[in-house]
Amino acid sequence: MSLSHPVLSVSGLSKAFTIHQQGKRIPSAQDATFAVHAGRLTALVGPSGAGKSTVLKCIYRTYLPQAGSIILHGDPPLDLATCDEHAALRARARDIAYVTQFLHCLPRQPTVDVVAAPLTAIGVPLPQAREAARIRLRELDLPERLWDVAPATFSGGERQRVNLARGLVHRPRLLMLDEPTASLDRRSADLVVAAIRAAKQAGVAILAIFHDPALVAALADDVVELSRPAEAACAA
Amino acid sequence: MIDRIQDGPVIEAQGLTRIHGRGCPDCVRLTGDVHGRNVCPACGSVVAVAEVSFRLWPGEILGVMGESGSGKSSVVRLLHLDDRPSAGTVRFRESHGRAHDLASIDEAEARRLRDTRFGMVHQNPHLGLNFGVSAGGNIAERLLCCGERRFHAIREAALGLLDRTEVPRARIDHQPGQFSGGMQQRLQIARALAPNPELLLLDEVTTGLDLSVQARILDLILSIQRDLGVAMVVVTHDLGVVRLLAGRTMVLRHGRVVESGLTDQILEDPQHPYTQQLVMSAL
Ligand SMILES: Nc1ncnc2c1ncn2[C@@H]1O[C@H](COP(=O)(O)OP(=O)(O)OP(=O)(O)O)[C@@H](O)[C@H]1O
Ligand SMILES: Nc1ncnc2c1ncn2[C@@H]1O[C@H](COP(=O)(O)OP(=O)(O)OP(=O)(O)O)[C@@H](O)[C@H]1O
Ligand SMILES: [Mg+2]
Ligand SMILES: [Mg+2]
Ligand SMILES: [Zn+2]
Repeated sequence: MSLSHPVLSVSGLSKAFTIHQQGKRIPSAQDATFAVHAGRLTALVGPSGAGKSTVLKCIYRTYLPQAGSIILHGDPPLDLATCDEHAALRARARDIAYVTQFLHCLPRQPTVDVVAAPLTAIGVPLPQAREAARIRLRELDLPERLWDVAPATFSGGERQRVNLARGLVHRPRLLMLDEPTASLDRRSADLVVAAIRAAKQAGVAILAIFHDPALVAALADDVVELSRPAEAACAA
Repeated sequence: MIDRIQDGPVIEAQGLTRIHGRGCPDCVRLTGDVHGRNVCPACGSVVAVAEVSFRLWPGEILGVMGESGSGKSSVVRLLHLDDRPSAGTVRFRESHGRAHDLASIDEAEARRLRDTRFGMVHQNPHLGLNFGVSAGGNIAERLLCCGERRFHAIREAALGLLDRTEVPRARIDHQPGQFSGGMQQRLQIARALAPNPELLLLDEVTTGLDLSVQARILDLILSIQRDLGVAMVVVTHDLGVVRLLAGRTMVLRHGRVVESGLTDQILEDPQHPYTQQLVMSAL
């Protein structure tokens, strides 16, 4: 598609963990280079331990990379590897959604507010934010009786749909998914896949990790292969 | 609120240092994390904080973590003008744009800022509340400082603040000594919020309380952030508290900042050996 422009360009991204107490260095991701385009899905593939999740966390700034650049295109472009903390927080709030198998939310918060939170965080008044949240929850077919309950007791499939609804509610430019359908039943997985397709259609750039090769084949426009960091690099 | 970031920081601290004692030219050089002490071996002075720099933005919650004696309360006391730095500057910018250097401000102006622009909540409610007057009186004292004189307006505002902090209205005429620990902390928060402050400082507000009581206070702090957008500094030695409340966290040890960053980065990818140890031991 000639219309699609890069939203994110990752270049030479490397990350290793230094555990000071044990004098150990654990190489994690090595020299990852790829781009993610608007309206397209880039799948990160590779064996367990190749650093797929690590790459997403570096983009989100949960991990600090050792080398490489992570350019979020825009005016001006932002290097998430080196920008200051506030710029990273602002990119999180406005541009990037990150959905894992785990729902990170405040305990005791009703589902509709969990989903509305990214909007209230950028100053959208609560009633409007809740309305947008309800639209997302309906799209993902989450039973209405659950909307006012905190998600702590939800099933894996329900929780994952809440997670995705929250990721999409503020219309991010970049959506990152780490095994979004892991451990879901067929129906829940289908709903999640449909939501991913709809997001792509709406022009969101998606970077995803799927454990199921069939999903990669069905959803990915671009595939990036990561290999496990060389053992030789393990010596501190 | 993230979108208020472009307004510029509320607080900008640069090289904040506080030395207790007569001090000598080597106090800072001979103390700190690399030396594993905060007492100067040359002169015996206590270097409570040294070379601490950070910024705090409107609507942001900054977590300050560290073990006992690391300097957390000292930083808060300097921000609240209960103490003055030996070196360094603190710029405080009021929302309408007026900026102050807190390090060199005179006492009258300091009092005005404490009374009208800042709110402070202490671990020990005896430091933050007047136990000789009622709950309503505690809030009224602060409103009077802001120039409110009308009895009804004060009573209404006090009731509103009690609602906000979930202290039953019926308790307005009771003295804080009759309150539970959790309710005393909520009353402290009500009192701190009375002047509609731009900076709220919370020093170990949940320490020593039951878990369910803690949870209620943490929820309250989050709702204050969401609804009022006031900038906060939250001091704690509890990783769970910063995880829940703070977008960014600063880790202190022997009076120095050993690491600062986004809170999830501090917890999931700590860089400094001390932070790694702190995070490991909490798992
Ligand atoms: N916070 C961390 N601290 C130390 N090591 C880590 C950390 N996070 C990841 N690693 C290490 O980095 C390497 C890559 O991990 P990562 O989770 O990115 O792999 P992955 O490709 O997502 O694997 P999987 O398919 O099993 O999820 C592993 O050796 C892992 O142990
Ligand atoms: N007025 C003072 N005179 C001398 N030393 C002081 C004074 N105030 C604080 N200190 C010292 O400064 C250091 C930092 O104290 P501070 O109260 O800031 O620590 P903290 O991190 O808040 O600890 P805690 O978790 O125990 O509350 C400590 O070593 C303390 O003994
Ligand atoms: Mg993974
Ligand atoms: Mg203290
Ligand atoms: Zn000295």
